[in-house]
Amino acid sequence: MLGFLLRRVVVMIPVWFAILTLVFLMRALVPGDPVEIMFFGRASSPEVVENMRHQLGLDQPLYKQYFSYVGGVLRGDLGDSITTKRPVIDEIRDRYPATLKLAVASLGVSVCIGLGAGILAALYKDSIIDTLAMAFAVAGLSMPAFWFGLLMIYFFSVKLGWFSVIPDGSAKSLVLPAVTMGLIASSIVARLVRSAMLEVLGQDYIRTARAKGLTEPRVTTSHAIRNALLPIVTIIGLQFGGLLSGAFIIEAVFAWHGIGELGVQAFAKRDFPLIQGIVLVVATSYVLVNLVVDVLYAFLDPRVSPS
Amino acid sequence: MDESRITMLVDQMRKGKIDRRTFFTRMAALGAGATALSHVALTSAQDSEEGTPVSGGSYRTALSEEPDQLDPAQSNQLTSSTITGKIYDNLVYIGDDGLPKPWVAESWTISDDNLTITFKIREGIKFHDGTDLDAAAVKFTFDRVLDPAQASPDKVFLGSLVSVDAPDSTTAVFTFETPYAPFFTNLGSFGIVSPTAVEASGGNFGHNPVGSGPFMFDTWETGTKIVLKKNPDYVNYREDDNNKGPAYIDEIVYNVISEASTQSAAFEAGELDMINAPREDVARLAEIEGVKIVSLEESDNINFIEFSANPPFNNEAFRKAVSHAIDRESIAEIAYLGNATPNLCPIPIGNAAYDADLGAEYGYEYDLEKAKQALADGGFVDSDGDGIVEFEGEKLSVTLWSYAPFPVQSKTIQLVQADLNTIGMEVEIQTVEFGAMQPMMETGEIGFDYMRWTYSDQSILSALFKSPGWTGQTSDPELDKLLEVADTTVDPVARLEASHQAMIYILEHAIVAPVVSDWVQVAVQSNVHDYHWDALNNERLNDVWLAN
Repeated sequence: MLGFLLRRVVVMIPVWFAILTLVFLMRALVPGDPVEIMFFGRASSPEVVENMRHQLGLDQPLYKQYFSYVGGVLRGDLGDSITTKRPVIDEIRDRYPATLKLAVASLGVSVCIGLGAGILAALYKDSIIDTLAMAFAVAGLSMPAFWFGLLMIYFFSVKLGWFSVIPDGSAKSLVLPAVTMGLIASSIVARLVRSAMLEVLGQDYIRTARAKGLTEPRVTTSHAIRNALLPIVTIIGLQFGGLLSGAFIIEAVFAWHGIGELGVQAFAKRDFPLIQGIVLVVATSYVLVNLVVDVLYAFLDPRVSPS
Repeated sequence: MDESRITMLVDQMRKGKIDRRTFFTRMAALGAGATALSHVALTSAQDSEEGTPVSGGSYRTALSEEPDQLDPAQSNQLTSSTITGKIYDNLVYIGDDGLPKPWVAESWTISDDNLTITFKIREGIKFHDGTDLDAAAVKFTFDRVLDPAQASPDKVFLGSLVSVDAPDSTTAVFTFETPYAPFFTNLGSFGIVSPTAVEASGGNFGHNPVGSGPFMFDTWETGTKIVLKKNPDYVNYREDDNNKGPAYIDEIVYNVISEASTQSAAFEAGELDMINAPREDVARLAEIEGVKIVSLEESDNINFIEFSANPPFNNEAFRKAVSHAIDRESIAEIAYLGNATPNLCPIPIGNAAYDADLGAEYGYEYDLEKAKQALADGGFVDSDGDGIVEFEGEKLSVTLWSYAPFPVQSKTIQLVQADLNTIGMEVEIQTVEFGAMQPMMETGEIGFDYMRWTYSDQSILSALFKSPGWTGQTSDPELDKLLEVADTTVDPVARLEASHQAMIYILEHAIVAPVVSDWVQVAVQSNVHDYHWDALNNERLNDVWLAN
């Protein structure tokens, strides 16, 4: 098992370096001079522009910039934000807990609703329950997050007054964004659970279990769901990676001060070091979550041999 | 002088139907003398028509983005200046007549060569940390900006300022290399900072600001909110506020909410007392019971069509025809939903140099016959009868640009396209992302475009049109000379006249086609009273009070 884990980690390293390189190149590949773009439409003296270029190391050849960037990242230095002058790592550290909180809560909502709807749909295939559950899933997939989020705010905060629009840091203020994000994410889970369950329910060992005289709830819980869960772990893992990257739109709509909202502001201000830092952290989260999913998968399914 | 008109105007202002700026402009138009004006100003300063102010309460509002720093030397961001405007006092402010007025500086003298301005600093003003605001603090404030090591983004606003000296505690002497007229307006960007606090902050003054203004910095929760508390010892030396003492409200809470729709929702849910009203939301918000829309019609915004140096855009007749063909009233009504004022002057309506009469005399009002005549005079004729004019043997086909993704820009260029079609031009319209626009303008790839600027000072004329112009497409030595005079005439009254001369030249040669000045609008809850702006469109909260 340890060997398997080590191999996975080793494979991860080149992937991560590829990400790092892409993140670095992002700035170099943007058309036009990044510093000119930053100052576009705002009064500035050539002296300030030159100074900024020097501060960012843009007056160095590209390969030197690359090595100093990689060196910095390895030391945990992602540079300073151009707008706030604070270290990028501090900006991200301030925001990441909020995103993490929202991601965990949304995942909870997504798994509960997704599993429930998917299992019910499979057990009552072709019934009204199935139709309703799948209609819900299609709606969740096709609803724009921005619109859905505003609708939730309008209905539950403005009209009913159950929740405040501006989050106050309480658990209650987590409800609306987590439910919105969770509902959208649950639609994928529901569809996957349904198809996985249907596949398992058609297997020989289910027929055997029934023939043994097991009760239907027992067949469902002990045999069907357990086996159907395997592929679902992958999708839930991927979803968590996505949620961790901070839902840019949902966070902005709910004034949730996580990494997604920080990203939106960084883009708007063309704060390149901050944008690069956020993209790097988001991509790293993805890679790490993938690693965990791989390991979990091997753990759950003996057929995926760690050797 | 028409007495009844004046009484009516006074009445309108007292009832809040027109703001102070509109009032003064209209009074001036009626020829009301300075004595009459000051009499009215004095009597109106006694009480508020919205009731008797009461102290107390938390004033909650929203910011669309988090400010970068609250240090006047380190930020030129609009969000930041919204907040720093409450924390710091400045040397002077600009009054409704466009002239500088005493604030921290009691008075000043300008040397004959326009190279030295000596300010007399008021005695007895204290910073929030209890230290004295004296000439040394003024010198310290400006030295920080001038210091190359600071690389202050605001240094550009000090122009040719070389040094500041403080020979004694009430005298600050500003020395310039060349005369720099925008200086008085630009002083608005430089709140006086506490030297003791700057030194104590260990390089983090931008997050621990200390000034002498009506509100004191309290807390800053990164990414979430900023809270300012009332300065209980504040003495307000500004004449354009009614309240000369400490602010009525106890604290200001700025919540960071990036989405405009979420801001609106929080406002509707009663969690905010004031929001900037997005144009598309104004009508809806106005219908909510108790909600008031406060509009600043004399804004520092100007929307205009600018031209490249390539043919046919470099042809004066073409530009005159375009300007005559624009139906500004319809644009204000349809594209701006009625929240903009048609403008014939090449300067924002809220600018001190704006002059409606000058616009009417030299500008190009909507007149399709005159537009067609201008085209004909310039040699643009429809010889083949297809409805499209030709120039030098070729059909006149042009593209009008603007930037995305703003509905109002798109709607406006559609309307202008229709206007220009009716005078025989074939016009395509195109929008492009703002960041991609500048290089295209500089190469002349964009022939003419619809642009918006916000700018408080008269030097907007130079910023836009002095060679090579902000697009790199302007080159007019005659105009440069006129603008040079305006930029170096430090005496504020003489400067207005110099700016007018430049504006007349710009209009006579149709260098730009002004379209509208869009309004600044906010929505406030019914209990918020006496919200207003100063002449440079800065929000003033000293008079604001919250009814219980």
